[in-house]
Amino acid sequence: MPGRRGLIAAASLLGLALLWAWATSPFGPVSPERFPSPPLVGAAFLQIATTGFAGATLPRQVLTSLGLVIEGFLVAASSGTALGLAMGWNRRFAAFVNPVFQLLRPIPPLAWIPLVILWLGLGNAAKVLVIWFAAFVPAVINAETGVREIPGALLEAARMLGTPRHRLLVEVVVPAAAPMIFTGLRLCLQATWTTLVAAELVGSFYGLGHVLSEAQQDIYPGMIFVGMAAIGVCGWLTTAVLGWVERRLLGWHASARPAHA
Amino acid sequence: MRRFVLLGAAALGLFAPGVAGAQTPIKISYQPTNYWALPFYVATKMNWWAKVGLKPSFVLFPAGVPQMAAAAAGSWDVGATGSVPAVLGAARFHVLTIGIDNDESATNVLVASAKAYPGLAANPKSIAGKRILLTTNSTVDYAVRSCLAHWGVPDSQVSLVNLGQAPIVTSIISGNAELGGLWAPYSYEAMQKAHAKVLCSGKAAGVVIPGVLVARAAYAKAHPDLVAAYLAVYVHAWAWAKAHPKEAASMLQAADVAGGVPLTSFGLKEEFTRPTFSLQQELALMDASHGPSKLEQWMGQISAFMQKTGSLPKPPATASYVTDAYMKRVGADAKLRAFAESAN
Repeated sequence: MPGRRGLIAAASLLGLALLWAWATSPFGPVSPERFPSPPLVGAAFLQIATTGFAGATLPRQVLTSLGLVIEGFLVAASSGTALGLAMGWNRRFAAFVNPVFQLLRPIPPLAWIPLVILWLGLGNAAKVLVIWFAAFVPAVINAETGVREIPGALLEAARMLGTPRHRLLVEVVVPAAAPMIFTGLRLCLQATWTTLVAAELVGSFYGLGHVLSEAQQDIYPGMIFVGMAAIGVCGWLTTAVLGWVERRLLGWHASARPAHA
Repeated sequence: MRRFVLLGAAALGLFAPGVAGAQTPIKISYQPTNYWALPFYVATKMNWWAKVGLKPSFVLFPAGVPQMAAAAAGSWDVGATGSVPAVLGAARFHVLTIGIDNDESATNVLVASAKAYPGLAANPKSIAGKRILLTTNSTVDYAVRSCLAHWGVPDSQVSLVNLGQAPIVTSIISGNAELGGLWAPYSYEAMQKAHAKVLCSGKAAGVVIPGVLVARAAYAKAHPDLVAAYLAVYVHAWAWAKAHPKEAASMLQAADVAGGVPLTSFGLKEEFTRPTFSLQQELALMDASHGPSKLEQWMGQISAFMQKTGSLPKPPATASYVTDAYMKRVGADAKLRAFAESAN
């Protein structure tokens, strides 16, 4: 029943929009100075789409952030997944790495910014590192859990058939852990978007995080809404792309099938 | 209930400012690492608020923009801030400018790293094509752009990168940046730790950058006497600081340690070169009886800068938010005037 579910979702969004319009109208309880009304957000959208804001129009801001997110995601996903697989595969290695990982994990990405500037300056590498601190964690945890949860019988059967160690890893362990790895990648991608604003605080010229930062400096709530909505839409689109890749690669696994199938 | 009783009593004049005894709560906002925050520290240490019937609670902010944003939620009643956020506050949330806390034209500066300084000092126009780190929508943004205009270099010929003050200092110290827009005390830190040098200041560029005293319009309208009492304490604290430089210096040092940016002896000496104003000087600078006051003119130039950068497409008219009404109240009240002018 995807049609009915779509209608319900549309009704929910429409209801929210109507509530917002009423609440910020002259008859509503909320002042548009504190919570921008739909016309104020519309005007801000028009401004960034046509004349631009924070140095560029919306497409350039989106493309800049998208580039940074893809770069940060690839670095965090590849390094995090590799580390997680190694930790899941070798318990001694996990015991060696885990204390450092547990120490680094709770530190908020914002806290790294002064050090990152010292180490890497203000270029893209510094921004990617800020993203990496937040985004590699779910990739590590899920890849490690994925390996640990592989049924022992499966590994035993492969070993009994004389499968060499490297083939066991590539042809048994990684595919068996893949559903959990993809769960980690989805969380990693979300973390990448949620850290974007912090990353773009490191001396950016363009980007949606830069737009939010400039709008905050201008106390421009309408533009803050536009920036947030743009990040929401971009995050949703990239998650959808990752979901599509997952379904293509893991068609054999139940978790990769669409929920309504 | 107690609050209503107190406010009611205040409205009936049962304890007018100037009379010690019952104290009316007032929320004062400021940024603790600034020189102009010294009067708040001194007045609290000396217990001067009680003398005018105020019981302050302090709301501290790292910068002027979040300070102005908090005005919308009524987080503070009166305060002190930079002139750029004050214009923004006036445009967005009806924040009034009611006084001048100091002249910071000389302490909003463009610094260059020790390596870059000689070449740029010899030929300032060679700044074209370079990257300058600064905090946008701030007094130092105004100072830096004024410096560029002074040299005849259009903004478009440099890359202005928005960063907080502390990361700018970090970038200069680590050699990742050669030019930064800084206000004191961060400029002193860059000079001390990275041997950076001042290439230009707002003053050198020919503009006046006042720090200002502010009040929420609704609060000021409802409690003009309390706002006047607040101003009297602030002006009195500067009079005291001028008459007691040694004590004031040690208080500033203590206040800056508490604020998280300790001053060196170099910074301490520099800070006390800033002009601050007596009651008479405040009134003269805000006198609009013969056309726009000096303060209105300065704020008007800052509004024009904000319009040019796109921060405020339509800045408010300066006369709509710069007012000497509350400072005049201090002058008109014999007790408050005597207190404000006293140096002890």
